[in-house]
Amino acid sequence: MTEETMQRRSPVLFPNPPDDVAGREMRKGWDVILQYHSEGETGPFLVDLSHRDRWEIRGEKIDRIRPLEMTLPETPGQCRFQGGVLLLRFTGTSAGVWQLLIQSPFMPREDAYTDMTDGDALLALAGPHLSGIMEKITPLDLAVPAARPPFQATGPVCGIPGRIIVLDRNPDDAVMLITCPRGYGQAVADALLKAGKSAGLTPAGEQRMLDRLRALQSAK
Amino acid sequence: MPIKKKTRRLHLPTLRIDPDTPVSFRFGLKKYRGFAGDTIATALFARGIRIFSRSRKFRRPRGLYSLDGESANCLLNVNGFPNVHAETTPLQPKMRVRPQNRRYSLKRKFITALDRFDSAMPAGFYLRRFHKPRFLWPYFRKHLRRAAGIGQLKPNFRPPDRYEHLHVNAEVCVIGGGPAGMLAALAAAAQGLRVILLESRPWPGGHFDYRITPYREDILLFQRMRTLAEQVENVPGIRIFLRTAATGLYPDHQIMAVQTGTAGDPFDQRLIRINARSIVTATGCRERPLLFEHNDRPGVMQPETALRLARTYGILPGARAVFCVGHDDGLAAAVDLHDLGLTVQAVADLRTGGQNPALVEALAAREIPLLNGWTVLSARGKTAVEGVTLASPDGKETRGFKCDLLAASAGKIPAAELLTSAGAETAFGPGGEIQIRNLPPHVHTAGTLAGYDLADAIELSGQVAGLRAAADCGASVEADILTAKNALDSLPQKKPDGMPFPIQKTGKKVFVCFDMDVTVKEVRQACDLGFDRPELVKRLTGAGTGPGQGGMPGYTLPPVIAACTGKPVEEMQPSRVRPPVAPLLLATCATGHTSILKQSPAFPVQKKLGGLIQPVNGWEIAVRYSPDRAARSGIDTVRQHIGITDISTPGKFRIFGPDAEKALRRIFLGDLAGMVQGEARFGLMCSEQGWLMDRNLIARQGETDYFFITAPSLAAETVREWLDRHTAGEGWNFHLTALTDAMGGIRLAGPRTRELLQRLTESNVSNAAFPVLGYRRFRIRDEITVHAIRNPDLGEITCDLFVPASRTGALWEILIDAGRDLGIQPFGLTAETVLRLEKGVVNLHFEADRHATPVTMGLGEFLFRTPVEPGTVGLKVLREGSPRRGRARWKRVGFRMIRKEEGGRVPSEGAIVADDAVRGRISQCRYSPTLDAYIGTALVEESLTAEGTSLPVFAPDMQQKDDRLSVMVVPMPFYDPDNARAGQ
Repeated sequence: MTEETMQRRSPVLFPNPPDDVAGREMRKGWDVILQYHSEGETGPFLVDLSHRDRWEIRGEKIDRIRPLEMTLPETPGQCRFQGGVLLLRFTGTSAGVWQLLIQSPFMPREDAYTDMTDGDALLALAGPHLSGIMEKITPLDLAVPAARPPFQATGPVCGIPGRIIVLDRNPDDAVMLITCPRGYGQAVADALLKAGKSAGLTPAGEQRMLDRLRALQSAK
Repeated sequence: MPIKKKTRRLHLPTLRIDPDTPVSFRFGLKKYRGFAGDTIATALFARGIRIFSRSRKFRRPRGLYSLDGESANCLLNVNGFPNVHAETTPLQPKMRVRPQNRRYSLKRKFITALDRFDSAMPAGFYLRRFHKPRFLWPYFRKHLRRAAGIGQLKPNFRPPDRYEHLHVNAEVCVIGGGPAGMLAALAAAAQGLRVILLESRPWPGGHFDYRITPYREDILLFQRMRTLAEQVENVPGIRIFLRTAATGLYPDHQIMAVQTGTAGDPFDQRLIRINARSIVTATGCRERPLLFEHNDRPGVMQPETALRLARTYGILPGARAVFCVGHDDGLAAAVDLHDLGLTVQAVADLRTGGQNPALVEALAAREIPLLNGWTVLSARGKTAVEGVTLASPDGKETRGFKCDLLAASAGKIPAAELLTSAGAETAFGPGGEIQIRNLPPHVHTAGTLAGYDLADAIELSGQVAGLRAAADCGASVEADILTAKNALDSLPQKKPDGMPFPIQKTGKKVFVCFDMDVTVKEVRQACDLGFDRPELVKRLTGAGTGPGQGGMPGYTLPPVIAACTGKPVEEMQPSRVRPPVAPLLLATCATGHTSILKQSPAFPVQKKLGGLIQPVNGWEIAVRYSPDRAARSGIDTVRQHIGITDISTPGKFRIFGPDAEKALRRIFLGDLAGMVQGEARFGLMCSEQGWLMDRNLIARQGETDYFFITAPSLAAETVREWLDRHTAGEGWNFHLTALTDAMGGIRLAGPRTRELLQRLTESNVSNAAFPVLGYRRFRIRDEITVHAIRNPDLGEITCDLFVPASRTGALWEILIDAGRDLGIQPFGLTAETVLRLEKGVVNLHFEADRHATPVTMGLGEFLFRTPVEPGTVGLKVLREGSPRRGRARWKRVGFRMIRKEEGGRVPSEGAIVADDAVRGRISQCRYSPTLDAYIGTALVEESLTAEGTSLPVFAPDMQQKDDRLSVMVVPMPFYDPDNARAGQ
């Protein structure tokens, strides 16, 4: 057994019964749920993407660093979704590389890189009524007209520090990502499901979100 | 006059009820029927109910006075919730409504006996009497407490979990959905801004919604409002929240509002927190209560209430009415209600002139006598109004009328509570009118609140306010503001009516505050006692401290005090209103504050193993794995075999870069110089003043790469800010990465730890290769790389393993499987606390307080290092002496209970060490199964630190006369003082 096959556990466990799983896959040790029988067609959907690789880059001159041969956004707060990767600039000396659609085999062995996959829970939301759901859990202004998706907002989510990335805010089919410290992942997922109950928010498998992200990428 | 059991609803175009949709509900034991759109109060009123409650002190009958929940008259128990405003609560199917604060029927007359003993209950009687003779006070206290308060909440009542918090962001927030508010919203939204419109009623329109006065030639006011409402609803930038009352304005333009849900909503009530850049308040005016004898009788109501009952709910409020008003809207209401079938016998106008001539003509045309300058002297009737006596301006002439409705109001006053809650000031003008001053920045007023009376002016004022709010948000609308302002100024302004406010000072039951049953007589008594300011009178009489807060007496009490003291009313300051201005359920407040706890990556495994999970420091942690509170089995396992516990909760950080060591030496006390790769050392984190904050383990994992651990309470941002603050300006090149959540931690402790590790790794983990305070990285079963530190704190061979969080659960299971034959067992926080105590290790969770410095905690060696760097946080203060010079220093000592007290009394944390003075305090005390004794640590005066000293302990639950608990100072560590076991 290698590290890739040793089981890794997501911080989030949805309340779906085991027989609701319609498709699953072991990937780098993670037990990834691809689809649920109950996830429906219309949404909104809540998907656990905590297993997707996320790196943090820190350094004085990170502008010179080209993760996965891509250029990091220049301005703090900016983010860019390209080549299946979400590049986020946190501060002048730190950035994030989230591999949403691709899976790099290894992380560069430079001091500037830290693997943060295990540090945060990553939840994705897609579908209609997302703004109404988000209003129940965060005071962050995700509809600010000046911001054009993709953009990120940092602040309290369910009262704990979190980050929200708005990839698309089409009212009928928006896409948002939420990260929070891993330890809070389950509580935030539970709070989201409660907040989205009236809007019909249901847990969904990874496939649903990847399809949506691919569509979003091809639309660009 | 008999009251009809059932009132036929009028069919009017202004109605807001749906007569085709009946709604059934229960009031007491009887079943009633209202209509969709009714409130509970209007449905009950329509069915002939006139007495809704009994008053708090005199148990007088109280009826429907206002429809905006300004008094406690209509507080009822609805579906188990006490104190629900029936006037504002929408009627829902199958509601169970009960009257409250009554032992018998609301109609029984004998329960008004208390009313006759008012002379025994003067102002503040419950504060001044009953205290002598002293031995009777407990008896009176019991009965006074029973009489206090309104409504009862059953202890086992559990409200349904249908409450929400909502966070809404917008550029402009308009409070009040009347004509001014809607125009303000439209003006701001036209500039491309996001606008939020809050309206406390279920529909927009304000006081024009039920008026049939012509707006233009062929449009009536209510039609204009419906058109405007449609317009507002169709503007995408405007978001309307109906049934939403603002509860407070806060700095930074935050508005709190509470929305009541209807049957179709997923919530019963929700708290809305609005962030806006500019605010327009268009909350309108409310009617000032008129003060006359028996002004609280059921049947006395505001003219606006009488009109709304008819126009909005289709209920004629009575058969024969007398009006006494102080504004033109009251005259208009009298005319309109007359036309709807009410017999209006007379209209007394407090003003002596200045009325709208058209309204005067209309009254004359209907042969309704208008009595200028007349007022109400008293209302007659035992349980409801049966007649009134009006008096001429000089009081010489009186006229009596038989009636069942007295619509009385002393003019309109601005509903400025929200503004005052935000810091604006209100004051009385020379004519008794209310003035609003010193508005906070980016807060604007519009409509009648701003003093406009005529429809055109009200709308234009809203437009101006909306444009000004848009300008606050950066819109270039200066020219538009000027144009609208000029148009507003060019409109004929109605001369202010003035605010005549006659006060009947002679009567016994002239109520200033309905909620607290405070009369003018009591206010006069308070003034005679020297309480000559509203704030003082409030405290003695309770006026304005009832459920309606200052709603009714806020602007009534000051003129009464002025009249009683002979001072000009301008000298009186209206009470400042504090949020929440509108009532909301505690359940609604509480629902958004469910504490979110962190779960460790090993949480599922711990739960599976039967750990007792409790919240500690914001985490859900297994405190023990057996029912035994002392966790003996966990302690024995560590001392004899091998124990495993979760240490994921402490903060974990990586700091790297050429200047990482300098940064560490800046914030940690202790000698970190010369630390080699693979070595770990303890450091102390202190505040600038030298107070001990944390005891930390720091490991060097690379040339310029360190790993350190902090207490769970020190979150990533705290440490990052601390480091940034104390290294600012140095230009050092280092980077900090928080790994608290990224890495899970597992602690193995016990004499067989090495044996277990050696089974799982090919690396050499002997004491020579991996000594105490060593740091190593090795692979377990060739599957997973762990960061390992030999930690001496528990007094056995202890190895702290850190792995990526997602693999923590799997590693835990591997360790359990591999160590089963070695006797491995999980242990929790309780056992760990005792194990650390046995070793005398400082546990800041229990021991940190205002006396904790490294010196007092016996950690003075951390103050010495080479080279000495004066910049190290807290070092200078500590080296120069105690940060609390001149005060007795307390020092940390270990103690043991002299008598074995198992099952008996032990000193709890925080118990004081005291003889004739306080000499110290107990930090912690636990039973040690290893030593079979109760041991603990305390901070005591230096004179008590000698070994063998007996410490007298006074526990919080002890009486002064009780014998003190006795503990004896003993040397620490209690267990394995030579560290022979940990260093094996």
